[in-house]
Amino acid sequence: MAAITTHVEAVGQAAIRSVSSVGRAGFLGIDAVRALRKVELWGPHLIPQLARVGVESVPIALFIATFTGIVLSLQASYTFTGAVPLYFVGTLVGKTMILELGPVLTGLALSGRVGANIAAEIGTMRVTDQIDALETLAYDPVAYLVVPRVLAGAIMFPLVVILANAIGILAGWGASLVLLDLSSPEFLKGLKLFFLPFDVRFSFIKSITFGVTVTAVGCYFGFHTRGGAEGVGHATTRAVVIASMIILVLDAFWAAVLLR
Amino acid sequence: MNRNKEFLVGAVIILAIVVAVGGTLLLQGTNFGRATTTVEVLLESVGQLSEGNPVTYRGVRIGQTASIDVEPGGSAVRVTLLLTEEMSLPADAGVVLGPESLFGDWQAEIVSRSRFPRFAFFDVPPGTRPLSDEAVGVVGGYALPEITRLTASAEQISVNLADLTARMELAFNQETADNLARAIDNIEAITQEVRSLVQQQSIVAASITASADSALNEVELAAHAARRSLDRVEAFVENARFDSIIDNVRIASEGIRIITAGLADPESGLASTLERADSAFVRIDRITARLEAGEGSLGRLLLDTTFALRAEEVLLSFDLLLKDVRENPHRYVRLSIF
Repeated sequence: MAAITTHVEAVGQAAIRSVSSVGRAGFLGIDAVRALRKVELWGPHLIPQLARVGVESVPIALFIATFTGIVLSLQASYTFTGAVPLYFVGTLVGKTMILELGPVLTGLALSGRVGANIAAEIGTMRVTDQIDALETLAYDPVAYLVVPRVLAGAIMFPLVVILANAIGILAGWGASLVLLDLSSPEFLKGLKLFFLPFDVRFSFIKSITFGVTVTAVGCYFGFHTRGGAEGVGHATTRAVVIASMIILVLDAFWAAVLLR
Repeated sequence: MNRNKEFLVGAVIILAIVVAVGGTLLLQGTNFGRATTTVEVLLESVGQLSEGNPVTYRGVRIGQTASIDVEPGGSAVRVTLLLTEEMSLPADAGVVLGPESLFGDWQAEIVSRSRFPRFAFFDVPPGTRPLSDEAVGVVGGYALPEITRLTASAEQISVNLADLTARMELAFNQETADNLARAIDNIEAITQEVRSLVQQQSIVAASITASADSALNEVELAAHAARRSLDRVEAFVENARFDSIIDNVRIASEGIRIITAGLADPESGLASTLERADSAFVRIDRITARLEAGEGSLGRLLLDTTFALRAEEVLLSFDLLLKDVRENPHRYVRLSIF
């Protein structure tokens, strides 16, 4: 009986924690929206955050995109051999990079880099009472810490993804020329064949939501870090895991909403 | 340090925007700064054509599909083609929509209608003006049937074929085949019978021909014999020896009658003999008298020479007839199998 009671209590605690987390996330979101008015607080920190979240993420994003493009072209060629004209390699590389792999892989990579960074930074500030100090000094910690990071994520993520898409397609093109028996006109023909401007908009919309998700989740777990250095590590890990999960859920959500 | 970050952020933003805009325009096929031509097309249906699909002319890609809109009232579909070159359309220009490849992508091809007389191009009402000021004109178009329609048609054809086959199978069953085989056997038997009949008929015909030939020969011989006889009779009649013979016979008869009368008394046995002889002579005398009187055929022959001439003419005609029969037997002998 006692064991059953313990298990039931565990389920209840988990439910309460989940609902509390959602509630806290909601409150944090509302506070962030309200804090948008305090430009004097977040404005000076936006550029540094844009640099951290965006510019410093470009190399890793391009690295991932480059090899993704190469692998895509090679795998497409391997799949199409003898059945489908080879110029469809360009179609597959372009479509896949723009619609799916560019945003998702970049989002997952940056959730590890940017989300973990934000969670660790803010979590450390939390456990070292720096956030409490800001509140004591009448600084809005949400406006000071959360808003510039989330805005930076929303602004820079799509740009990084655009660059990643371009580099991925160029890498696939190069791989097709060097490693495959495919000419540039053929690759471009396939690339243009099914291209729609909507593809770029779709990628852009997804990237914005991914950027907001990664930075907001990092901020949330950093803000609610407990338990010293161990808590910071735990918050960082959870931030990366939860952000990655939400990215994949959003990926399916946008596909269902915008591609049907 | 802060300016460095600002520069980097600005550079990334500008670069990303340039890449996004430039890449989109490039992949859309936008021609930067070059002259373009806009053509509007009216069609009943556009099939699988969508915005962005290529426009070709003589197999060369010269533009893309800019927009597809249903006309007010739904009477047609108006497709706007954006050509990347400044070009003039053929006088009887039309647009054919169809698949570019087997993989579903469609294209709009500008063609001369005279090349495709069987295509039902949309009849653009005279005086129809393009909606866009940039468009050079409005032409009629025709969308090829989609592969799904062709598949449906093929399916219908296969169903009809299956139905027809079933009916044929029903109509052409084993019984029909047996009847047909029997009919063929009957025809074969009839053919053999006909062949046999023909052979028999030919044998009979050959026999008839031979018989006729033989009969003709015999008739000819008989005619010759008759002619010779008539010639002799005629000669006999002409040389008047016959009259003298008759006179001699009468004189001889008279002498014999006198002798007989002399002999009757002494010898009664001889008398009967003489009576018979007398009777015979009387008959001869009577015959002779009738001959002289011109009775009977011989008498007529003796008295009337025209009879002999006619008989000769008849023989001559008969001779000619025999000759003609021999030369043209088909006029007189006709063989027919059926």
